[in-house]
Amino acid sequence: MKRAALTALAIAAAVVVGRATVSTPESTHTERVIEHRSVEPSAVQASGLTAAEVRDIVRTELAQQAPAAAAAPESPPADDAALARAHAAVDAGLADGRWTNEDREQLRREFVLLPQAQAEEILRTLFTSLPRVKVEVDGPAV
Amino acid sequence: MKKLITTAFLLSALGAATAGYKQTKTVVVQGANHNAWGVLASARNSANNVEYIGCNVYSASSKSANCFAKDAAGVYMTCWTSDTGIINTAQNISADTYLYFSWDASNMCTSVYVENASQYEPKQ
Repeated sequence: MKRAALTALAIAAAVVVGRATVSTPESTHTERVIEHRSVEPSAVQASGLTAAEVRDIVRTELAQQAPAAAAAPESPPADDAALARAHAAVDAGLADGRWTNEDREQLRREFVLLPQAQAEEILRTLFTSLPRVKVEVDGPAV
Repeated sequence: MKKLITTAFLLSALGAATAGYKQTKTVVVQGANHNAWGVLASARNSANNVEYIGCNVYSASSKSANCFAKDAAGVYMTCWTSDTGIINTAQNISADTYLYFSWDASNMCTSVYVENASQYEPKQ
């Protein structure tokens, strides 16, 4: 009975540790902290669980929570339609050999919707093309 | 009358002595060297209506910055970056900032230098 209670306590502790560390970007950091722990919790010692068993419990709990953390998006999902419209805005704007305030405004409407990778794609496309046209904006190009 | 003139002279001298060091830096764009600089307020206060310098920062679905400058002769240059460090630096630009930035062959910003100091004039 006592062993069961202590085991439950150890699992609960593992869940708490898991929840406290699951948002940490580097999971290896979490593992390192656990491995370097020099003092065993008294409850664990009293229960007869070895440090290796506790590690297994903690790892099991972390592994169960890891997929949810990994699936959390860091950036909005790709918006292919907005990307296509942004490319169209760049192409249309540059087509007459000028990049104007109106072209910039047209692009901005789509640009702000783009996630990071797609925004960078648009910026790369535009800024490598600007030297070939006459830039007539009164400030930033985007 | 003589006393009045003397007092005015002394006040004038005192004013000059306590005004502090001042610098005006209008916009320079060096396309060949891939860099540009200038004080925002100096560009704003310049006699011409051509030059300007600055950076903007996007913090929407993505994060990026564009720095841009046009000198009095109309030479324009702009660069972009998604580098977090450069973006953070660009966010420290104020109305009286001295700004320097540089770019590479693909017009990506490679550095942004922001200096906020007393010698630079305010916008008028």
